[in-house]
Amino acid sequence: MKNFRFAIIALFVLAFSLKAAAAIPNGSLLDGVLPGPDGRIDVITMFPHQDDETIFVGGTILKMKTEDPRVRVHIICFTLGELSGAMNTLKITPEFQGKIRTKELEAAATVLKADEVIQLDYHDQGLAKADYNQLVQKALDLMDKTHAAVVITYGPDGMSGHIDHRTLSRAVTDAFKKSSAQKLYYAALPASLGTIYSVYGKHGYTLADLKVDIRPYKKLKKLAMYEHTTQKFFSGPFTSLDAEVNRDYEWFKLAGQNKYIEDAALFNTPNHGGSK
Amino acid sequence: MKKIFIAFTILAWAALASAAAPTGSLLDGVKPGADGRIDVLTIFPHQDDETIFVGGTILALKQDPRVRVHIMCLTLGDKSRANKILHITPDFQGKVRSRELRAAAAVLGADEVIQLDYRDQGLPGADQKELYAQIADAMGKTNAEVVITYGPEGITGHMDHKAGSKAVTEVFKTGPAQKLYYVSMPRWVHALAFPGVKLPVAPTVKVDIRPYKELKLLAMDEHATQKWWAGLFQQMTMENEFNDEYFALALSK
Repeated sequence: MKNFRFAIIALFVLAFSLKAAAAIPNGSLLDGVLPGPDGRIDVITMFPHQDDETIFVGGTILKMKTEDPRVRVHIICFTLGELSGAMNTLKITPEFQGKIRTKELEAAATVLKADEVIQLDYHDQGLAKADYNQLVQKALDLMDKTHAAVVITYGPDGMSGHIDHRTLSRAVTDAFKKSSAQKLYYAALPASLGTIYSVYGKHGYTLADLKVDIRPYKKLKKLAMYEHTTQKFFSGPFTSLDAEVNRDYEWFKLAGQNKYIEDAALFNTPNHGGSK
Repeated sequence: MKKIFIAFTILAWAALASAAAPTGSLLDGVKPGADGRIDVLTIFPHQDDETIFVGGTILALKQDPRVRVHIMCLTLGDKSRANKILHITPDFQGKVRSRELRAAAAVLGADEVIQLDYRDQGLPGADQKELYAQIADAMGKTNAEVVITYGPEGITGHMDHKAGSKAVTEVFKTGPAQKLYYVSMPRWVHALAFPGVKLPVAPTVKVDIRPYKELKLLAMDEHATQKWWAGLFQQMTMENEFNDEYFALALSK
């Protein structure tokens, strides 16, 4: 009897998670995005740490770069990532770890076929302590400099709940509203995974409204993850990151759209929309 | 009883053979340059050669504040088996491996990476005059006191290893660098690992790398395409089990 009840519950949970997963439509981050004057579409990822871009956007970057020659990808990493647990395993200084991780990011970016890596030098776990307005301005400057059409960052929950993730999400969102970029996406999750993450991260999760099929690119995504060697193999016994890089999809939520108005472009005054 | 005797003999022989090369440093008898610094230049054909054979030694050398390490890689490493396993083009593989080398070099604490763009398996067929000139240029620019490369057998017998060794040796003879080392192994290890290749010179010095093994392992893992996607996993894992790296002093001035 007990087993039967358990089976029923398991079935419900399974059916529910299948339904939830199925409800998110397949798509592309480039839907409805207009190229810039040079015919190119610039996509930028803004994350605090080396490896965030690979774990949550790696397959999508590969897909965009492989399937659309107009796309240019700029990977922007805000902190030096020097406080990861790998420094304890390896008995190295934070400064040394930062040096290694920035090189690892360049290797991973090469695997992902990204066009540019912009490494900033905020300290790990230091974004919340940094001057907020300056952080927003920095993000805005980078959006302008790269002519970003599409911006990708974490949602307000920061996925893992990490303080850097949450702070940067807020700053990038505020910067996006002032920018001439067209779409802002948050790295998100389906309900089935989100419930697990929100237990771990303690700040809820961002429910996806779009998923990208990355099956043809899984092998290279995995290689990109392995290029973040300190994180993959030396950051502790419980952080293998294998599950994260073996998924068939990456999930996103469209978090903001600035309407592209021809007149506004003509007078060089970007629309400050940020509509929902 | 007989088995125990045989095992004991092999063990004793192995211990004897590895004891033959005394523990030392590649800097013994090396005079620093005019600026008080000692420049060590490793010249290998492929990304990962430097980590496998000299990784621990580089980490140990960098404990001496006078030492600067320059890692020179002659080819793009574009013909590794990882191409087929990952379904990538040789060009793309070359790009990735050059980046992996930079990450490994950061782990080893090396000061500089010099990446040339010869094709993998292309050293014997390359314009030797140009190759020699580029190696001479690197030795000159780095003011190298110590140069490290493969011996004439190339350890594994790879054609690039052999061609690189010959070129580096010839250029070394004409330059001001003081010592040329070939990477080496105890004869019995080499005989087991590469039975088809004859090791012409026995090692003359071994470097104790025990304190640096974890970082050497990390540097090895940075060469991710090679470690995980080139069918070399067991070999590369085994190489990290050794507590020493071996060298043969080939030329000394």
